[in-house]
Amino acid sequence: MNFFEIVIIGTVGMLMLGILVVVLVVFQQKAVIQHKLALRDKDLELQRERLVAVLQGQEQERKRIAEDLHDEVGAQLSVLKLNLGQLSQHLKTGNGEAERLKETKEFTDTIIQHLRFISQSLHPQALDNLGLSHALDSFCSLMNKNKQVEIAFKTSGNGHLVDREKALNVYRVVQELMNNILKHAQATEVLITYHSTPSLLSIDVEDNGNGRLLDSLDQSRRKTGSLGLKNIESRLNIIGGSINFAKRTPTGTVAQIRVENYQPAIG
Amino acid sequence: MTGIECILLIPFTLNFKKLDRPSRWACYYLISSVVFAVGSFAFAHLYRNNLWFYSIMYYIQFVILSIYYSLLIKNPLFRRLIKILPIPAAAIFLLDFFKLEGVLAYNSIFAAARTFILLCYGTVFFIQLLFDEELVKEAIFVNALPNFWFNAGLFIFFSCSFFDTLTYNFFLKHYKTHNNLVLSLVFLGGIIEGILFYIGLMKAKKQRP
Repeated sequence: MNFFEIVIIGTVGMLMLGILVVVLVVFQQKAVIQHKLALRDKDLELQRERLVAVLQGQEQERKRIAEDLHDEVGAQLSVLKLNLGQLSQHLKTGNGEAERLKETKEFTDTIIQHLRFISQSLHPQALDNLGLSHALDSFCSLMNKNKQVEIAFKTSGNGHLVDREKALNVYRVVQELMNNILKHAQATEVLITYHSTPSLLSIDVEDNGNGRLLDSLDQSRRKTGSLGLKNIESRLNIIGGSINFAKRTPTGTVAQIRVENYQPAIG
Repeated sequence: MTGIECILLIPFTLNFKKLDRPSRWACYYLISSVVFAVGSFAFAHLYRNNLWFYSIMYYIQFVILSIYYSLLIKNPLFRRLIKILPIPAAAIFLLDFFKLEGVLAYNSIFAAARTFILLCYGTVFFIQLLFDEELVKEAIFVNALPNFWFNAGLFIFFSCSFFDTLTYNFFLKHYKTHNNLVLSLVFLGGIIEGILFYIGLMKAKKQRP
């Protein structure tokens, strides 16, 4: 092999090496990024699973407390009310004891009502028995009894069945929205519109307040320990739903909740 | 480079504002290559020897590319090294130019040293891209970066011209001619470099439409 040939081979070798280095850099970096992306996806999936588990645990605990309150404390209060009723029949003296007893009975009634409201808020029994639409209707009736705001519920569509987990999450989202409207929106009227088609579930929550519902939700998101909008988004994210806020004319806010493929899986 | 880069100067000039700081130095390198090609041709016809011009242009291009790499490479130690190296390189250049091989000879020692140093810079930049956490975090592929393509072009060209620079003077002294096949390979490297520079420009245009 002469000197010319050595130089040619060397040059060809270097050229190939140069190209190889460039190609290797491209593929190696691509592989690294793809690996990292796969890890990130896995991490996100794990976080989602954790969130679902936390929310499920929370719901189970709420259900247990609601049942305990309703079945035990509620029953005991009902017995107390009955006893008070019987006691009033045996009361003979007219020193104002009858009035005191009547007041106590009324107070017991108020406690029972409050207890029902708390129990219903913790776990809506109507959701398991009658479905989302009725549970929301019943929630509105309960809220109307206790608050100053007039809440109306309107439903259209032929009552398609909603998957239990999705229904519970949507119910909690509406609950969270209502809480925020009552706290921050200074509204006097709220309208909840429920509409379902076979593929899309739509719930609009309209208020005639100061239009600061979104701001308040956003603020609560930034606060440590406060869930607000983050809670709403997480719940909707889990069930593949979305929420959109818009200004309502003349005043207030409209929150539009949309959930696709909301019906329970068959089989 | 080999003179064909003058075609590239048109799109580079038209899109100069879209280039970032390091890419602009890659563009200056292209301009210097055109000056190199035109000057070599002119001096060859005027004085029958243009090898002194080769050596001067090699050094100028080395300084331009040193600035280019000092802007690209993030490691402070390498950055400082790149900024300092033109000084010892200047010493080698002057020594080779005036003493070792002479003004009218091809300065193989300096040319090979400069090519080797530039190959090292290119390698350092490739390694930096491979381990760049920011790119991985943002899921940016290296082939979307204009400077990756500019560096790839330079790397391939310097890879295949390394042996040529090392042996050029030897061939001229001992065989009174040059190996045409090696020159063709260097030309091929130059064409690849031009193509990769153009791809880099396209990526820069995409980044800043």
